[in-house]
Amino acid sequence: MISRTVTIINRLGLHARAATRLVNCSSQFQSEIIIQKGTRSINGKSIMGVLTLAASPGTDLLIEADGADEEQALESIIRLINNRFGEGE
Amino acid sequence: MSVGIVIVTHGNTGASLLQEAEFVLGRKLDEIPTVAFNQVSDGLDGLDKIRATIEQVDSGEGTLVLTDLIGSSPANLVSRVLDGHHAIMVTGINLGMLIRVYNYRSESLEFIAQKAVRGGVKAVQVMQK
Repeated sequence: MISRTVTIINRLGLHARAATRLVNCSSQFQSEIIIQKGTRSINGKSIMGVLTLAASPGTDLLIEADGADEEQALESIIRLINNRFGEGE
Repeated sequence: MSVGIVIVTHGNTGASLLQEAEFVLGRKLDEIPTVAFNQVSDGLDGLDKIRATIEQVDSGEGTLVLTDLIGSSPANLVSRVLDGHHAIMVTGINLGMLIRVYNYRSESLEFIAQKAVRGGVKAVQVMQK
């Protein structure tokens, strides 16, 4: 299992469409993806789970990936978040 | 005086729910403004609209803000303006929640918020024949 902390930097935070992109990204991999915000942790392949994080800009999330393709999974998720979910701002 | 109520949703969902609640109750639901959030055109500009509407309906008893999808932009923007206002947000609006809220309009803000959650949850059931 590997993990990394990433900060939400897009202007609108982790809103519905961004959450969908995150879940689509996580679901491409076999590894289990767990996302933690503070003491709360959710399944990174569940849209409702991701939405209930209500992660606004500036929020730190701990992304955990566990499985055969964990390195690629973690890398892809971190890249998506750092690329502001492709929103440009 | 009674608690102010504001509905903030994606598009016209809030206005439609309000219209149907009025049909069910058979009367006009006074002074419940709706804010229709448009993801593409509003962005963070929605903040000002939401803030102004919350302040507009607060007669001193506070404001209950009903939103649709938890974690989505309408709910995220409302959560940003809760600070500094006597206001509570309840997510997951449905007709059951809206009707329940209106029936307890004369109660305190905290009480109505709890009633909203219970009304909303009670309206969601699995049925099969």
